[in-house]
Amino acid sequence: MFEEDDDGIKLDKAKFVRMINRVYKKERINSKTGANNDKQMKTQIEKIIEEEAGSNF
Amino acid sequence: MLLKSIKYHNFRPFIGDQKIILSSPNDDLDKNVTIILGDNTFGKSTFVLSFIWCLYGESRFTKANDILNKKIEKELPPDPSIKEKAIVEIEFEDENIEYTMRREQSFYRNENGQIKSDGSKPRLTYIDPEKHEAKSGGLTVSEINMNIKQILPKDLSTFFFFEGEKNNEIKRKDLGQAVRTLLGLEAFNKMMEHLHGSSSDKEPTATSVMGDYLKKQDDGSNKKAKEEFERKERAENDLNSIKEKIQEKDNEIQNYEELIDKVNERLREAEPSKEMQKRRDLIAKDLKDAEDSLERKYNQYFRAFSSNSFSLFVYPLLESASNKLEKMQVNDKGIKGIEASAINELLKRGVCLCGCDLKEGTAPYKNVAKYIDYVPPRSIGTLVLDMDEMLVEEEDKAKNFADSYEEQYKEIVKLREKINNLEKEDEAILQNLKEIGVIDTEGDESDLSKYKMKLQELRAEKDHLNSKRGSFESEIQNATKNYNALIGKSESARKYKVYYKYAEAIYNWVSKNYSNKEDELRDRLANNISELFNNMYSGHREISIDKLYNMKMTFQGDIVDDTGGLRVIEYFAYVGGLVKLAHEVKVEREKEDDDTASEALGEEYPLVLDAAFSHADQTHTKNIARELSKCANQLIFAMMKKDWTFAKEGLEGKVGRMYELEKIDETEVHIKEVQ
Repeated sequence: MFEEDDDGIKLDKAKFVRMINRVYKKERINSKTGANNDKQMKTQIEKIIEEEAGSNF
Repeated sequence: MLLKSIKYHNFRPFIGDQKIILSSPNDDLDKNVTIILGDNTFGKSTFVLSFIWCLYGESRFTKANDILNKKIEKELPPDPSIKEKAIVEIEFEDENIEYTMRREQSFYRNENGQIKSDGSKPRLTYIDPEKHEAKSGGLTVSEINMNIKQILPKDLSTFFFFEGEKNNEIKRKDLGQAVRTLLGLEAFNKMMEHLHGSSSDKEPTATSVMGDYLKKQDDGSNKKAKEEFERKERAENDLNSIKEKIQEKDNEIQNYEELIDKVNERLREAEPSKEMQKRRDLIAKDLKDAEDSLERKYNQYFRAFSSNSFSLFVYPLLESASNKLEKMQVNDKGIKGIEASAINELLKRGVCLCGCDLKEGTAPYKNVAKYIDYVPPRSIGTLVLDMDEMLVEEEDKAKNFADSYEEQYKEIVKLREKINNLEKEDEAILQNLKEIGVIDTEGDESDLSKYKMKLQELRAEKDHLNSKRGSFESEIQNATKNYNALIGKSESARKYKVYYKYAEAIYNWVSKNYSNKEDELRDRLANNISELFNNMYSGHREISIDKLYNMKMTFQGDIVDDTGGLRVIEYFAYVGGLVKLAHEVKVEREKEDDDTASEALGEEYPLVLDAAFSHADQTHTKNIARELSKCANQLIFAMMKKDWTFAKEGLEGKVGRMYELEKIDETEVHIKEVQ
């Protein structure tokens, strides 16, 4: 999973772990509160992924 | 979530200020049980329901507005300005953060003697774990409700605050989502759904995170860049093939030149043709030089066309665009390279770059300030200036190219004429040699003629190949330029590719680790419940859990009716099995070495039970008390004294605090701690 692929893309394990934990926590809270709908959750997950992966660029 | 204490102020029968400190495994791991003793109508149900009222603002009392202590209420005069409050305050801990939830409701008596209320008001505070200071858990009611929901949602609370037989939640139709939420599985299900869409679809759905990133990657530039790259590769292959053919032609040309040299050598040897042969040698040398020069000129000529012809062809279009802009009278007073922000900065500093003072209102100030209208972002004048400059540049390039191209062509024509003349002269000398009959040149002459013809053919072929070579070089140059431009664009596509890879990796990880986890946890829940049930129940029943988490009880294969006492045991076995499993998975997760998903799956919950033993006999009372104290993290029993006699056998060594409700009259109950 963390090897360089054919496109020269290599995932950072620390970032990946932070992403999973942040996304899980957000989903965990939302499963209790129902505060965000699916579309809002999708946007928030994308925000987390982009924030964590951001330093690649 | 673990409860630490509950405080009352004039709340129903709990007159004045009263407090119950609850046993918590955080204080003493073995003593996780609190006992509240009281007979019927002593306030046991009020105790359990006060948690619901305080946390969620919901009154489940027979009369919803019976909140204020009746004695206090009775003493209220008919004056709306005089108010009395009923308050419940709960201290609890969740994920190592200490919270205080307080709810109060003010009451007054109006002029007609009726009791009125302002509605309840919640207040949530918590101790910041880093700064160790109290902070607000929400300024508005909805913020507070949202925060409480994150800790223990109301619809799940009915599992943990048991009001006797009134709310047997395990009889709900679909417990799946509630149980999955309590075990932390719902979050993983939703995570997979949001990342990928339906798990039955192989490809991510368009509305999912992965689907969105796929769409954003495909902005077309990738495909175009690939096409340009392939075009470049094809042209490079063609160029290599042409170069090989040119090399073959060069070899053949060299071969024929050598043959011609040999013939000439033989002719040179013949006397008295020496002088003529000398001249022929010079002609051959000049011919060779001229041919080489011609080849170099051709190469320059084709390369010049490939590199510089763009300006020549594009110039008329640029000129037409410039004419149109001129007709549109676009202002071009802008200053190239200067934007409005730079002018504003000068005005702010009050000094121009030339040193002139720019005092507001002065002529220099106005003079400089007016340029704001002509520079970006307000005006496109500077863009027009750029365009004009480009036009001048392209015009120069086009003219230079046309001149130099014409010059090169003239040189090529000259060289061709020179070659032609030298060949004619050589032929004339040969004719002379033949006519004077000094040598028998017939055979050599015939060969020489053939060789020269062949040489001409080869050189023509080589010229043709060279022109092709020029066009392939031009093709490579253009494709490379386009590819580089598109690659710049596709940086954005690459960014989304990276995001997609992360989203995919998360989805795969969750899918691998948790898609089968639910089946496993359902089996474990069934085992927990079955074990608890058979430890509590004096007889034997087989317990199973269906896909919706509903419990089914059978005996020797036949479904058994669950009335009365059996239903209470069924409930406690279910809830006990659930809190036990939630605690187990939390502990397991914390112990796992895997550094991913360090967030705990399950959570800890208290069990607050009223009238737990109303349908239970002595044995079952003891069994239920024992089993629940073993599986629940925190257990709070409100029970009658008669039940305590039997329950205490099952709770030996587990009770940390015990209270007794002392009823003074129908409106006053005192909470006394029993040592």
